[in-house]
Amino acid sequence: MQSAPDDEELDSLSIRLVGLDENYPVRLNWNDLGVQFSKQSIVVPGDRLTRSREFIPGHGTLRRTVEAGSGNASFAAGRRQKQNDDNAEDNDEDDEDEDEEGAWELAASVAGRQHVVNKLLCVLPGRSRYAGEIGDVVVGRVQEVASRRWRIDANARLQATLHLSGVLLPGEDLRRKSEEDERAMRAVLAEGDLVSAEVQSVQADGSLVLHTRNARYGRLGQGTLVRVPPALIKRSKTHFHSLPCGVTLVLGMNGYCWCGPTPGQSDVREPLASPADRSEVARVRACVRLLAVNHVPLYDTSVMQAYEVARESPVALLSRPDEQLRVARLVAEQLLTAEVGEAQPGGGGFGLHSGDLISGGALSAVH
Amino acid sequence: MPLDRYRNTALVDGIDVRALPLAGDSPAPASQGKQQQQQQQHWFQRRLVQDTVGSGYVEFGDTKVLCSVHGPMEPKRSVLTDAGAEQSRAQLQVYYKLAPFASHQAGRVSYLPDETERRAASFLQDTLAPSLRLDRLPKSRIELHCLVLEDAGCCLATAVNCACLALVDAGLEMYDLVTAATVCRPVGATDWQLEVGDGSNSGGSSSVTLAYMRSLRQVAGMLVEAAEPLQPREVSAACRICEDPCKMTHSSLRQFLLDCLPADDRTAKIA
Amino acid sequence: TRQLLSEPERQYIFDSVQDAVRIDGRQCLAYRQAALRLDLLCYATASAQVSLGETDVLVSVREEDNPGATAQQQGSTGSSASSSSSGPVSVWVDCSCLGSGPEQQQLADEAQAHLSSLYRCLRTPTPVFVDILLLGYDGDLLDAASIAASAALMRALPASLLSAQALPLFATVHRIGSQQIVDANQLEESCSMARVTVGVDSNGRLVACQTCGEGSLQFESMTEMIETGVRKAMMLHDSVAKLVARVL
Repeated sequence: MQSAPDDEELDSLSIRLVGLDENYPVRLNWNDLGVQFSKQSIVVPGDRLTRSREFIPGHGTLRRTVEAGSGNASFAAGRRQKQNDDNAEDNDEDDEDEDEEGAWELAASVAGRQHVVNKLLCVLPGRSRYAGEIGDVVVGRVQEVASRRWRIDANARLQATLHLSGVLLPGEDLRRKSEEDERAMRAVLAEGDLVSAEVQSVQADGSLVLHTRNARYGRLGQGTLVRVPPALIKRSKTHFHSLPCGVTLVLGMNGYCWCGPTPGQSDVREPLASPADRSEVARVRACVRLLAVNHVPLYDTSVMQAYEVARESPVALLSRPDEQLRVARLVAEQLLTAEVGEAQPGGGGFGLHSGDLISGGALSAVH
Repeated sequence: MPLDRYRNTALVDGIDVRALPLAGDSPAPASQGKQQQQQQQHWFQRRLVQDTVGSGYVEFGDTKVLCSVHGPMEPKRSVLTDAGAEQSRAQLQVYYKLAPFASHQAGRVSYLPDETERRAASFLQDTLAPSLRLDRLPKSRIELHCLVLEDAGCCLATAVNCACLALVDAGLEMYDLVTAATVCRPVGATDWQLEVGDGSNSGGSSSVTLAYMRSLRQVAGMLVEAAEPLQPREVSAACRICEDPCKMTHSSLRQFLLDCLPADDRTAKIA
Repeated sequence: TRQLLSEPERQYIFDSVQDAVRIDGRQCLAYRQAALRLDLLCYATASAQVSLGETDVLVSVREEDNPGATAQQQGSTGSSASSSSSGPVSVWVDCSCLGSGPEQQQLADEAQAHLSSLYRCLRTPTPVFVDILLLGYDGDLLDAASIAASAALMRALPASLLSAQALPLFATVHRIGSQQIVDANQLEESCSMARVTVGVDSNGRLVACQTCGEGSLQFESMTEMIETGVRKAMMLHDSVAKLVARVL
């Protein structure tokens, strides 16, 4: 670790020569920490998952039938995995089109790990666009102000919608939405504004409808946005964290994270942050980024641990891949120790997954 | 979506897949002077391009192709297109370009896409579209950028393999992996030879490129570039010869994905 | 390229720079760490890849004896139309990995124009083609591209040629409020209203100098920024020279 890099930075450009056969930047390798990930339930598109009809197709699967002999094949769309497992009655709608005599099989349509929850069989890809679920806390950026609604970029496939009726306005209880509100929409949220919101519903085409009908949601003030892969955000009870160092961190489930100085108690006008505050915000931002590039899950504990480890380093150093690796490795080790220390009922240790508990036959992917 | 029927024959087992280096955490092989054996091996890598949804990089011999996927995202609004028809399926747009420094033959590749590149782009589009579940992504647009960094032969087939890897990396739903191979035959010769990335094909030969979906046993695309008039049965024979290399590439691509995918799921273990 | 940002975000970046604590904690005149990789491509005379933070640039340098090559170039339209008039070093920038939108095209066009002017004074025995591929972008494309092109040219051109002329490097200085910053990331670039790009050779002489951006500058500010740019470019020259001496 370097000491006093400030002068060095100003006087020279730190260039690292990378050999042709080297990989740079080097990122955290979980295998080195003794974590083994089972390869058994990994599938790629086109792999046959099962021939047994007892499984309900979930996300990332598709059904195909092959008639013996003539080789006819037909496909049926797989089901999106819904939050409530109540699609059993929808399962049979395509049965009339399937040939009862043919071999029915369930195949994978994405590359990832297969999961079985009760009878629902799905394949979850390692990386995909944020899909959104009801109740998710997200951070979005306003792209467009339309009539009675805002269009928000929430890192999903389609733009999300925030209706005028979904926003908490001052004096809410006492009045209905009036025409002035429609004209004054830009005063509430203009193009480019960052807003924290909750997913109210998911439309049929996959677009999200958001709302901010809660005091903690709304327009985000001074601060900065960090974008991370959505899969790294660990779902927890709250996504708004007021860290002890004076930084507010919002971890949106859609991968947009926001950090800014915690506003003071006076709500007259947001005071300007001091240089010390800015330094802390920069440090927290750097911690979130370094955890993200090293694929460490993001939640308050991991960010705080990274902050503690990185507290003594100058903030600018935390942008260097070597330092990022060092901090991420320490955080990962601490997380692993904590995880193993807790008793995990139901076989949740490393290397084990519910999918692995099902033995070979029905689910083995065929070469 | 594949519309043809396929025969459910027994799967072919026992294909000898040569040992390939694992990509991702392992070093890249030296570009220059590859051994004969290495000329026929694929080397895969993912996520070389930052800030994209998915990307893939494939080296086949000395041929190097880089693909990046953007989207699915909002479609471009255009007055010319019919709004109703496009809302139900995603639009796939493929851009294919040889880098100006890509060709080892005399002369440079021009900066704008020429006819060969435009044809390659539309071939890629027609080849990859059957393998993607575009109906699952209404009102969306997917962009695929394909850049050939070095063209030492067989670059169209390598581009298909690379594009497939990039689409899988992006997490898009597919019916099957698409792999491709090319066989070529110099004018006047009788045998079709597998084209490899060693720069030995210097033009003046007919070539047949076949893109194949192994699990479904269906042809996703086929392109013939004839240097001399060919008999139809010669073309079918050439396609048949392509099938085995396609299957081998499928195996090695599949093996590569199986090896690097467990690491993707690492967050699920801790969280 | 200007990103869509909210007013509070813009204000935060602005105030942070005034307080000399940038978003990533750097000082105003500090560069990010860079990484350099040489000789990746078989068919190029020389190649180099430089990453400056998240900005990742791959450069190939090729000497071309084929006179037909220049004829091909003159037939193309768009951003490379003027390349035949810029001397024997021709530059092309490709941003297709980032997408096909107008912002990427604009980024490529501007970079190509700047880099062409950078090498305008350079004379080479045979036509030299410098092709720049952008694999990742987080601000400060010109500085990174000029470092990569310099490293590649140093390997491609004969030593006699190099000693007679010094290869220039870019340094871009942005002005935000009353402060100057170098090596701006994409957020900071979106907040800066004016910037000065200087191309300086290793003898400290200017070969290219231009102001850009929607804002206007006072005379004194502009002069200060040019001086800062020259100082920073000399610093870059030192660092690059030390590194390349180890390799060559």
